[in-house]
Amino acid sequence: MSAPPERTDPDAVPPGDDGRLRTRLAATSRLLWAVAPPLRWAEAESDTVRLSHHGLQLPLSFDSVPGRSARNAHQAAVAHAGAHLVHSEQRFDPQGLKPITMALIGLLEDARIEWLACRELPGLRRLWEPFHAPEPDEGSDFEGLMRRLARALLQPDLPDPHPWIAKGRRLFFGAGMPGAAIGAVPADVDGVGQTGLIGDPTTLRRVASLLGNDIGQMRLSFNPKTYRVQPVYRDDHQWLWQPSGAVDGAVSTALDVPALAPDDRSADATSTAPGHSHRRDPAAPAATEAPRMDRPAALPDARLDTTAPADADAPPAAADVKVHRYPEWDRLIGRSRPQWCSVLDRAAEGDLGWPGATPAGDIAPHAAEALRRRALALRPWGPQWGAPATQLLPRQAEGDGFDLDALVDARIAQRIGRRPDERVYQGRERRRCDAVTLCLLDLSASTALPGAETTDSQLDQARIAALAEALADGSPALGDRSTCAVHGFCSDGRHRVHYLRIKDFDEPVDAQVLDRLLRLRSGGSTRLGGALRHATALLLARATPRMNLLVISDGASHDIDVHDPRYLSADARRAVREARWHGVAVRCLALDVAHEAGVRWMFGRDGYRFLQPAPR
Amino acid sequence: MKPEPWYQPTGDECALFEAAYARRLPILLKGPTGCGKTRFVEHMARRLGRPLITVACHDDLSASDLTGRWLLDAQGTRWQDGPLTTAVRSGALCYLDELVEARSDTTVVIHPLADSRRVLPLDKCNELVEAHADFSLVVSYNPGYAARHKALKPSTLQRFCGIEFATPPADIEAQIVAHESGVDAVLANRLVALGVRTRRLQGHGLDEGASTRMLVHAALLMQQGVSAQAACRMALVTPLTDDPDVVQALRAAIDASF
Repeated sequence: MSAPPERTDPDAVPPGDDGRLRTRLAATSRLLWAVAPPLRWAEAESDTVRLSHHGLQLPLSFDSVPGRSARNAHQAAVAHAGAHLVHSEQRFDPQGLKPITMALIGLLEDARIEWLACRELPGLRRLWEPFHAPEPDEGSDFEGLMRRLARALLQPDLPDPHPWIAKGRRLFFGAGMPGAAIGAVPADVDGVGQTGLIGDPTTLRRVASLLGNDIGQMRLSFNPKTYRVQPVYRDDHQWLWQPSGAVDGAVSTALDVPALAPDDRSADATSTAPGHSHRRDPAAPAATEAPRMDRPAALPDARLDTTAPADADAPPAAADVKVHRYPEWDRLIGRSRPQWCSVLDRAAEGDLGWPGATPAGDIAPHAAEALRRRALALRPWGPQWGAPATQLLPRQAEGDGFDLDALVDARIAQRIGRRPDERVYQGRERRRCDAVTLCLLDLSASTALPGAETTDSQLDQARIAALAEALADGSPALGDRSTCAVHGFCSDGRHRVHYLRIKDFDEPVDAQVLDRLLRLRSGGSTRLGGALRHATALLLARATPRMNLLVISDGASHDIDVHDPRYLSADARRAVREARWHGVAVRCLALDVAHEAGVRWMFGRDGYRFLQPAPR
Repeated sequence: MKPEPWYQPTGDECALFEAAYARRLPILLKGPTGCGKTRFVEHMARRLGRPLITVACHDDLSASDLTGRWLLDAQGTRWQDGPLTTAVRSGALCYLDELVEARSDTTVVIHPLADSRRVLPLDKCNELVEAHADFSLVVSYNPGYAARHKALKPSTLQRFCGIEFATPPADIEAQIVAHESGVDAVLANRLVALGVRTRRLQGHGLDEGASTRMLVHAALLMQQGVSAQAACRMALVTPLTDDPDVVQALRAAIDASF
């Protein structure tokens, strides 16, 4: 089989755009193997692929791969690692094994899972084979022989005169390895009794130690410190070895890799050739019952994309934060103090850019799915604010009923021998007017309190409610091209009103948005006025006729530098009125019944409602 | 007359449909797009020997579009029955495809037809049409769209008996693909395995995975001599997503599958 021609790919990820590459690789892994191991980039100088129970670590570029795009190498690595996750069910006990035997076990296991993988996905052969192309300086030293054996096992038709390679092939395919069953066995393999069990670690160990002994007899030197698994797309075999102290050989015990739901893989099993999967082999009952595949996907990939544990806690670069100054209403002097309050707008892409956010690792598995499910069960408020009006259009060519005036005119025209106007119907048209909604989430410390009639914190309730509003984008009442942004705020004195963009206008509700929502944490104070003015300014910048501002807050205004308990409420009330003067419909979803009087005073009698507990 | 449309049952849906029709209960078909709802109705209508009147609902579908309207001609005004009224009078099966897409005022029109009254009031011509004894109402509904705040009212939903459809199990889906397109079983299996793979990205970049219909399209293209990769890109990838990264991942899966 020849290598596919190198394609120039117009959609290739530009250098440095590793987030997109990761998204793409994560999707590939899901598609091919229904597994979603967390993907990490290796340190700059390393180009080793590592697969462990922590996930898959990939080098950002495979510099040592000549004449081949790194994208193919990444894809090859992800396909290979996924095959391990699915097919390498047994872990080997390293005790008492020579390093040379361990290296050979790794090579044989790689070959075995690739055979199984190619049986399910024959195109993978085209992906992997080019990496096995002979290198010019490939000799008969240990590394050279290992490369040649790897190639010989993947491509049994390729001739290789070396007796050790021939023996390796014979043992591999004759020992009941999957190749024997596939029929692509080379002519020189005489099918030495298929006594071995497929994937039986004992057989694999035996074959490896036989081949290892030959290496010893050939007096070939092997340095385990410098040995690197070849070709580069194959991982370093960490995956295959039992962690020290482990007794059970089954993988399931130590696996921490999210896999997809069981029905997904079982659907696959029925869809492909019968008996293809050694997982159903009676020799591996522990593996068949392994709970690994029973775990649904725990982490959406995009979340992994946004995590950067190392810099999650670092303060955002100044460039990410735009400072906007707004006036503030002072009730005692009865006028606005100009440029009094600074709103720090973090228009962050990808991550929240918020040092106060929950670290990605602390988000419970399934949290994103649960959040979405609960938000879908909640009835959003925005679409109930008023459906677009329908208007009756006179003298239409089509319509539900006659326009009587037009009908009479037409009849008269007919009687006097003129050509009647055919537009005799009355049309009914919804005025197309798309709403722009901004949900402003109060993230202050007080939202950590539990909400009414529920065990959720107020912030949890607010998250769900905000998502419910965001999911109402494009609902009939809001218009097909309606859009909803979800922003959050908390304050730390008048110079620091932090303003976070969780979901911006026209941004789809994707895994990244869910991740940002989930990572919000209560903290700081509530300087509602400044945040309201900024949100209003953002809405007005959209210049649409229907602008909705939905504040989700407990309604308790306070800040560290304000001692007059009515000052901030008065300012917020003023900000609400200013927004309404500009044509923005402002309402409040109140989180705390205790502050009802304050909320009513700020937003007006019809301008608020209490948040209903979201169904679990 | 066209031959009976081929339909591969995945369960007891045909028997359930017949039972509901025997008592003239309105039927709701629920399931994702491209899983065979429309084909099922066509099949059942032929099997029951009833004519079928299908209306594809859209968001501007008004009650008049279903019931009928007054028209003007040389002699004066004339009432023209809509498709629903025609079905009610003639005793046909009326199939409202994707009813959830219709305007909410439209769905209320079917209420008196979908309960024990079985009448259709035509207020515009002051007539109460009694449903023909053979008339029955079938509607379809995609819960995937419903999640996007398009939902039928409980008062509508509760008038119906429901039959739930899902993407068929892989072996049956392969039979369907093979039958509809004429590809061999091996290729059909490969296509279905690829279809199952695309469904893994549901919620992770795709709204919905490839439907059975899409797989049939890919198979038909292959029967036309298009290469497997090109056929799958054309029938699956391009219609499924615009996201370049998901496109690349899907292409990788296609390359791996063939």
